[in-house]
Amino acid sequence: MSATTFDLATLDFDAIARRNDQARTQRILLFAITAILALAWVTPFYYLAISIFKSNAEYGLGNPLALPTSITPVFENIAEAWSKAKMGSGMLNSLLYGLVGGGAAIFIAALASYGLTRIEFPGKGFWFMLIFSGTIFPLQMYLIPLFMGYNKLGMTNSRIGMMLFYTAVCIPFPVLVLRNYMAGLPREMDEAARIDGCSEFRIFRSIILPNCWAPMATLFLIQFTWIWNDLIFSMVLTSREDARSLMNGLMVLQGSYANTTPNVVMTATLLASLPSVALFLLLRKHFMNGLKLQSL
Amino acid sequence: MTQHRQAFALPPGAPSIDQMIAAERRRARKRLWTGLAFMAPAIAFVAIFLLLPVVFNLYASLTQWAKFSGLNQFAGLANYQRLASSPKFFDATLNTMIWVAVSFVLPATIGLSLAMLLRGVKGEETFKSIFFLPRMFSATAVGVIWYYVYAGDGIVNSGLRAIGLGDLASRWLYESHLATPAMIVTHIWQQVGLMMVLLLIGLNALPSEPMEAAKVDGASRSQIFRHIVLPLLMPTLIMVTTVSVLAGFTSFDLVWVMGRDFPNRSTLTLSVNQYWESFRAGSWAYGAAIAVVLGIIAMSISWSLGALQHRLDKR
Amino acid sequence: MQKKLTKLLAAMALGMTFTATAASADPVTVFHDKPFYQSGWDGLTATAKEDGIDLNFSAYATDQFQAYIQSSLMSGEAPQAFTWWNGTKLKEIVDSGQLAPLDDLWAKKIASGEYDASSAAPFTVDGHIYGMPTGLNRWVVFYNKALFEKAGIANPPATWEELIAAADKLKAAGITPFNASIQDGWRGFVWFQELLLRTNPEAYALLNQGKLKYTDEPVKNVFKIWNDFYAKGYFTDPASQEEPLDFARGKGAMYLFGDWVIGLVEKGGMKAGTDFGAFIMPNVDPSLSNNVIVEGAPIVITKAGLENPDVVKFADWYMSEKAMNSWATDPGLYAGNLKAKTPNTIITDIAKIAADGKYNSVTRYWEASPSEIVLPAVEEFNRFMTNPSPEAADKAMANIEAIASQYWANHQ
Repeated sequence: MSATTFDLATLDFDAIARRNDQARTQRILLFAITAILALAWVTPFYYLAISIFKSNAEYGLGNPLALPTSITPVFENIAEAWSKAKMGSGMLNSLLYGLVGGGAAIFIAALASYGLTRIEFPGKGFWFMLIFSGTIFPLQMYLIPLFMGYNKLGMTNSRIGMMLFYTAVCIPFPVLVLRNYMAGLPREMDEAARIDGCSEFRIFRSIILPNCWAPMATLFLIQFTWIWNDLIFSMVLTSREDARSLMNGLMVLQGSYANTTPNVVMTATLLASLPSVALFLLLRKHFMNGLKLQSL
Repeated sequence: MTQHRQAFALPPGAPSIDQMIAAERRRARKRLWTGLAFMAPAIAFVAIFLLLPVVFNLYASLTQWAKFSGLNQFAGLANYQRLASSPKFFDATLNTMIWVAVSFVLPATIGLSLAMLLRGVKGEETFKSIFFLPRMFSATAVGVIWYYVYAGDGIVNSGLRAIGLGDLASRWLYESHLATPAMIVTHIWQQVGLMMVLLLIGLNALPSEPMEAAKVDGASRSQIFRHIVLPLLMPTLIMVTTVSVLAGFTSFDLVWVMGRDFPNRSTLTLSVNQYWESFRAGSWAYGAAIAVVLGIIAMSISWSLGALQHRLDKR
Repeated sequence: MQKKLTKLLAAMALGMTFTATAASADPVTVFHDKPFYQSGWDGLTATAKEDGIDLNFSAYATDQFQAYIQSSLMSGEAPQAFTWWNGTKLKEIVDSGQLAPLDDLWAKKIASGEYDASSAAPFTVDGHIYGMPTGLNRWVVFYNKALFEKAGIANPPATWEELIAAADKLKAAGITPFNASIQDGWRGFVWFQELLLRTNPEAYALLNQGKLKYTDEPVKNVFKIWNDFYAKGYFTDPASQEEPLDFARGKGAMYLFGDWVIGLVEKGGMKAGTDFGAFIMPNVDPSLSNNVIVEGAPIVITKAGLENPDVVKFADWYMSEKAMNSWATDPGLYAGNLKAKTPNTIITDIAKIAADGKYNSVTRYWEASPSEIVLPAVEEFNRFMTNPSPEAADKAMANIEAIASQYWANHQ
């Protein structure tokens, strides 16, 4: 800000007041536009929220946006959705894949980033590009080979198989982020320990890793939600109920018409989405930090 | 090396230069192995689960593959010839190109407008969360919700009837000229929040001096936006566009779920076409060829946008 | 704190992996893509438990199910028992060499008088029987008795002229005559096969063998009638998401479908026999032979399954009177067992009509034509139904013929 002094006499107070008025109406107008847009944005969610309180008969009749007449059908809807979509085992599976796949991927990525930033050796660029190349192909190129390979090895419909793949697909992006992050940590931190004769793994574990906790937590959130929300790989690599993920179960429910009515399908949809949405609302800051990572 | 020998006068009793070189070599070798040990898990996972499949996919696309017995012979470019003559592949490619074209322009534009609108509005954080919320739902869940939103007597049609535009009520997910646009609208509804937040981050990181200076010079808001904000924001915009284009045309979950009743489901997009031809119709090798085409499109998009980014960086 | 958290997460993950593997004991699991019979499958499971058989039914969406079975056959890891289709679809997987012939089981069941040899016909490939029926379903026209009465129609139509007259009467009374949709993407062939069979049964057979073109006169004629029906407003909106319930709600007065839909219509509140009846669609030309489409949906057993005593025990039990009584109660299907009770009066009546009129059983288009043609053809039928017009018909015929001619060129 420039610190020039004003000559009060040169100021046109009327103009300032007009400008302020204008600014205020403009602010109100902007707020109104935003509010209307936001309202439109949440309409599908409102629709979702009221539909789960409707019985099938009630859903079939009348305005889809009308408020439900009572809240009791929701219990029946939940019970039906829960049992038909096998949501219990689906949730456990998705949780398992998300925790193990996301967790392992980020740990492995941290190891690799340590190697890339803290140890001098030739050919680093090549190895980095090799790992990073895991992000440039569309997922469709993995489907058929993975499916065939898993089939051959008897790994379709196995939880281990799912965890291994999710780990792999979640490695490249965290490597990119953590490499940048670790490169920014001061060298003095680990040089001293190295001179004292600490092993590299010790340095990694007790000096570098504790300093990377924040970006790692954020990365974990990103990868966990990705795995939780994934449909295609669960569709291709699992078909049995016992290894099926939640989203896959939801798709089967929606695809198997006839005795599942919209109100039940909507209930299942909401139940399946609650965990990741709750995570978002609770850890909003971390998610927004994650987006900053993405935009680097 | 020779320079080193001349430069130093060695104290007596110290290890000879050759010994020092040997020790340094040993240390270098040890560093190489330690470094590789740290990277080994990541390399192994990526190579086995991601790169090997890509190579195998390329190979499979050049074979003939019998439905129940597996791939059995090398067939050269036969699958690609079949692609070229397939009307379904043509339709799917056309629809995919619509996805690409729209997601080049709309998500970034709408995201930017929202970002500009939200800056400084009362309750900015709350609005930000609202627009971002759809993104926290999976594409599957969003697809299921909008499948009913577009239903015969769903929200869209009854909304249109309520405001007297009943004539516009349509079978959104059944008509070939409506299904793809309808799905793109859903996709944008879900993705725009992300674009908006990314652009807000970009906007907040812009230096404020040029804008202050322009304001002092009496530039109007739109002039400032066009001549200062936009050029400065270009790198972020390109990044956002890359994200949205790649997310758009490879999206499978949403299209698969919403396209459940579409008369020609396999023509909706290339990703659905690929899944259909391989996993449903059993033409595995042909499906692999479609995946290769998708890969080529994806890589050419990210490379050209990357090159553009690079050129801007140099300037 | 962080360490503890990590350890806790790791322990949870490990624990889940192990409990999960431990929980999967080995009941006989039958894989199927018919989740709409859920309560019927549950009934079978409960009945089997009484006889000491531990059963489990595992449901899939149709697309995923077919992909899964195809690929698991390829890798030799197919489930030991699963539902499938008859006709070309059965032959395809028999040719993979992994299905077990059930000739001995059938011989035993026929000898005991529980089954008639003719019930095995749909599941016979190259002289061997490869399936146990989950249904032998005739494709007939259901009609809403209340709506017929309202329109002043006394009896179900017995001739083509009566059918058209009934449709016109319904139309005049403000009722849509036929309920038909493209729900779930596979229904497009239903009216196509019926119209072809009713106008030219020989052409239907030739078409399925690749000896007739989709652009030939008999197919053109089918599309002409079909298009006329649409032009006259005979059909309901094809964009329905609840076709059987639509019929129950009275959106259309007649409903051409397999008799396995009866249970689904009853779920919508109509009672079979009292609220709705059924008739076999009459031929356009009364001099044509009597035909009716029959769908035979089998449960098949793999060779590995036949080596598993539990699966063998299940197969024998499944074809028993007790199991089929449960199946006749819910989902209300007739599957060939002569001693089991008949599910409802409609099925009994139709069986009598078919026997009296010496009707030939004809395989459904879905199973009679190669799936390489059927899948794309159904998409074309669906597209025609969405926007019917003579131009759309021509386009559909040309598109299907392009695929069919290519297929037959490679397979003859």
